[in-house]
Amino acid sequence: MTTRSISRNSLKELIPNLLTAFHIVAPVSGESVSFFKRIFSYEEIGWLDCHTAKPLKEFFLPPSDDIFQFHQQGKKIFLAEPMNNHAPRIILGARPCDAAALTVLDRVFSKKGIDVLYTALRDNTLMIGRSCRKPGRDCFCTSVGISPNESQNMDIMLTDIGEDQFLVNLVSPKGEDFYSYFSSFFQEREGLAGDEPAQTKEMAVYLKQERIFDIRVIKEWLDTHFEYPFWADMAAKCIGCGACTFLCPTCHCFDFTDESIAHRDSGYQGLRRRIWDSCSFGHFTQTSISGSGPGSVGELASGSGHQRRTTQDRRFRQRIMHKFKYFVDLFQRVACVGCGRCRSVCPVGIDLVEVLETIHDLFYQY
Amino acid sequence: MLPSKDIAKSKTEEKRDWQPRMVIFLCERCSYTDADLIDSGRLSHDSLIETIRVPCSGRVDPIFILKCFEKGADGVLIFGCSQKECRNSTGNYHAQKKLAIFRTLLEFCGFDARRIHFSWTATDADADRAGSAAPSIEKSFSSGGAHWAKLIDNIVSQVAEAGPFPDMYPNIYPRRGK
Amino acid sequence: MTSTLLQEKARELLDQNEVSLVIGYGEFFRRANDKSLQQIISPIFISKPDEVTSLTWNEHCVYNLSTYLIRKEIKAHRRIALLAKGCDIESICVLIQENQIKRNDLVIIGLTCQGVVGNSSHGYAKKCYSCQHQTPHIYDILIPSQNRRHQLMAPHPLPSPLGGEGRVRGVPSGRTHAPVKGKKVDGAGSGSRQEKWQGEIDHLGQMDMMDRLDMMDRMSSLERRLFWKDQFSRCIRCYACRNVCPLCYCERCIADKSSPQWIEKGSLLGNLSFHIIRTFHLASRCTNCGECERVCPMGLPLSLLNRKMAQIVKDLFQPDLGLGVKPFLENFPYDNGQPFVEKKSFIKEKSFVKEKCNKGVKR
Repeated sequence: MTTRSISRNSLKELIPNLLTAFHIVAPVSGESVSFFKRIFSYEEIGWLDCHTAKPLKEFFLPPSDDIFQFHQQGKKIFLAEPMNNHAPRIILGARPCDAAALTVLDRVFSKKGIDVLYTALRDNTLMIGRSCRKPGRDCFCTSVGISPNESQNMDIMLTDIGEDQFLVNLVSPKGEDFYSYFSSFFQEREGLAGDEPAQTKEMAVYLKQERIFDIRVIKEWLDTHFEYPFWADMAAKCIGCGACTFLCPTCHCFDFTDESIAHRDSGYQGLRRRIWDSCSFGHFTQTSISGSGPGSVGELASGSGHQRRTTQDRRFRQRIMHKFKYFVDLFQRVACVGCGRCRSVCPVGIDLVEVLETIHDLFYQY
Repeated sequence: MLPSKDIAKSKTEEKRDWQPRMVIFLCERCSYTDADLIDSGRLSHDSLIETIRVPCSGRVDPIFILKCFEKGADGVLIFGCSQKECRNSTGNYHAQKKLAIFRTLLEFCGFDARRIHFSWTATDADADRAGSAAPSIEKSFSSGGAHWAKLIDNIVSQVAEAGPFPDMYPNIYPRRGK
Repeated sequence: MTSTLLQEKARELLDQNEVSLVIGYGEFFRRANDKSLQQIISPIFISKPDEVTSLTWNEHCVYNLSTYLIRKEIKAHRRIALLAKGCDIESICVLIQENQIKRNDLVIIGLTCQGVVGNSSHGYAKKCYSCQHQTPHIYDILIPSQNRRHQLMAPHPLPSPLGGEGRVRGVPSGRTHAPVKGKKVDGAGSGSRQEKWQGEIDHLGQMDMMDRLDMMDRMSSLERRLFWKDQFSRCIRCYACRNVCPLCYCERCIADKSSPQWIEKGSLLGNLSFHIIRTFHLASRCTNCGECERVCPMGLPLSLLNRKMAQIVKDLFQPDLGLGVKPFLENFPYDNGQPFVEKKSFIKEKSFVKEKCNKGVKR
């Protein structure tokens, strides 16, 4: 049994070599939030204790993705490929929750209907993950079936041991390939690792606690309580912004927008973009408005203007249902990885865990 | 009539190799004094001045100004009727307030203040009293026309000083032609 | 106890059927991952007298509850009681002035306030340092303060009566949980970092409002342009700022309009337009409650923009603002004597302002 490890200094030396061939994406600590970003040197990497505030999702499902460009000459319209960059890249320092979220995205974008843009990004990525030593303040991954050191969707897994060393686990063939190229930077020895990192006290507490809720119980309750006064109570304070959905690593709803982006004298040109959308927004399920309605342009727009989710509690219900019931029905997986970003970012303090615990209690009460 | 093309290119053309692209918002009243400028079918391809006719200067929403820059303008001019001359009685005051504070806000956000100008037009009192535009055009033009031409020339040179509109709005596709 | 008084009053109002809804701050406790007990403050909507026991008033009650007054479901109530600090009451005044709510439909439970915590690791919210309304100027019922005045002088982390690390959920910072290591980089990351200003920009979140405006004044036009480009490249257009604002109540926001589309989506250009237009739409209306900046998940300095807008309006027009006066943008005497031509710039731009303005930033 071989134990592999790499020291921080070796990593520091490895990075410039990698930069010659790959893009490297790593967590950085910005002015007030942390996020993943393309880095150009080892010093830019932020070795955070927990996950970043902004999820890794934007590197697989960009907030603004060009689908095609169009150009009109007279009555003919020409389409062209957009200028997208799909260079091979390495994501360094991904957390188990962010990587597990990719399973959710894969189900939507690369199982039955293959989304070319997403698959291109997915195939061009090598994931070097980092297991968690301490839980974040709002983490609840264990309750949704994710473990803080699991290696789902990772290619190589790093575990912090001591100050300067990482234990290295090769998870996939891609990871092993990578290792074989760069093995000079790693240390290998036979036998079990005698210096397996001891679990931190915080992590021990986190793992030992009872699960906060049981997702099967949640699903059962959701199956039978579509109409219930509970939803209005929970959603009363929701302001309908997109903070929770945009910062969620598994949320993937999108919208399309056509932009005219060129100057008038260069001929009409435009771009179609796919952008993030949120089920919390009022216009999410708004069908297009008929010709005489507000915001229409003559006969160009014609539609019923129908909106079924008229109030915020319906939209809130949709969010919970989608994550914990509909996605389970369709794909046998909960669309939540328990990272807790939605809890920490909500402007009015709506807590997903509180909602789910309440459902749990309601289930057992009746 | 109003030699806009000449103004844009006249004095300064020899000094620089690019023409500032201007968008001018004219209210209906102002447009009576330069019918030539309104004939945008001729101007839009040859000239670097694009005119947009609005019912009143008060119609000019700040988003229009941002949109102009987005679409490639280097400078924006808004002309309004002088005090008490507005045919909607208070439209020009609306414009005055809105645009004055908006311009300072844009300055704060890093836009060059030389790119946005507003001004009273030459007085149209004559045109209005005459009841119809046509007979009075030459008259008011001859009285206010030279002033008008000078004003636009001055503004265009200020915009030119400020330079081509910078990469504030990074469009994906580069500007074609200047 | 302040909270008990508050609960009594709320109960009275509901019992006597004077109001059908009380909107206030609710206190809840939750066990965190490290087994510590966390106090959570969050908005609460009470329609039954028995539910008033959760009502509370303390220094963690930072939300501006007047944002709920613009909702259809809330407006459908006959009469509402609302807990409001001095700063919140300002927003209510603007709503009354703009005919969004009627004064008689509201029972304002005014809260004497000596500071609320914005981001718990940085002490009190910035707005509290320049507060004019510690005792609310308009109210129906007055609740005394529970805060300690002297803490307002020096911002420092509050000791929590509950133990643990003293962090309170429900006052989200939108920031990462852990202390960050590694070199700080800017959002745009395209090499447009401004070395000269980066040290100050890194501390923007903690700077005093006047210091921030000062810093912007000292920058040149190009530097300001780069600053805002960097900031808005981080914007994810979640619209938390717009949705939490009590004064953004348009049924159809211009940012949502797609035919014609005025504000582009999914680009820096669109982000700039959105924020500039939103700020402009709040000219002379924004009451600087600071909610927009607090809720931004990306930590954009939106208060800075709105505060500057207020300053611009004040410097250019010195308007009268207040309940009895017509809103600024509707109010124009015929002979205001001000020309429609170029206004003096109030940004000190050395390279081009021909007339030096001596008007500095007023404190």
